[in-house]
Amino acid sequence: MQLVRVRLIEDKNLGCEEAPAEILKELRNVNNILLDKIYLEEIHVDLKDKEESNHLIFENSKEIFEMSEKSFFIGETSASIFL
Amino acid sequence: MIRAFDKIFEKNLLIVFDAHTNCHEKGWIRKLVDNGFNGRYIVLIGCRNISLEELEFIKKEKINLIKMEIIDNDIEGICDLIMERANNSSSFFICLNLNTVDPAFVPGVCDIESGGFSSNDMLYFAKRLRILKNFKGANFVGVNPKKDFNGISVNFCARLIGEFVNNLG
Repeated sequence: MQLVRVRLIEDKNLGCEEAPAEILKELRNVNNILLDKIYLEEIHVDLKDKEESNHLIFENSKEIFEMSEKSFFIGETSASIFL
Repeated sequence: MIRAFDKIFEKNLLIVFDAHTNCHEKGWIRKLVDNGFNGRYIVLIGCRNISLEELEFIKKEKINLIKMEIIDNDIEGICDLIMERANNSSSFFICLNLNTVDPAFVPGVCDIESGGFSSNDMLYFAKRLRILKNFKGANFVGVNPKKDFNGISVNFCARLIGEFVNNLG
């Protein structure tokens, strides 16, 4: 099982970039999840280069889906879903 | 991410919880379908405030739309239907925008839209959908800590992830 943080932001949604880190912090207080049993990962993207970001998210997600039985992504906005 | 999912799993189902259909010209669902994802394999849940243009696109592409007003009447029945649909697909992935939940419960989101789920309704869907064997994962978006009040939205998103992941057993 993998939990992946995707750091990508649309200009109109400033403030959302803080969400993944805040949510991960809060997850430590949730009782029905053992973070030690989960492989945590981050997809690093260059926020200034959208095309490169597209490629990186696609390739990394593909690899994650292939390797892991279940994958959970925490992103900031819908942009990271499609890309 | 969804393109990658589509590439790896065949005949997979995409279940989208979102206050908006995202089927307008620049919406991500529209882009996804325009880029080859079959609309028949998309289920949109909890949408409200839908434009005529979006409705036409949904109809044309045969996307399954379950509007908020329908869910309000029979949440268990709707959940049964979604479970059946998910169970009949080879695999399914959930895209969840926290704005599906009413801003009274989750105020810190990017695109606020009133008239959504209660936080308990959302947890109910999570508890049921996660037990299906072909559940491949989920994506959580839309939380904006800068717009949050007392950390309610961040806390709820963490609770929701906890319900989906639930790896104690």
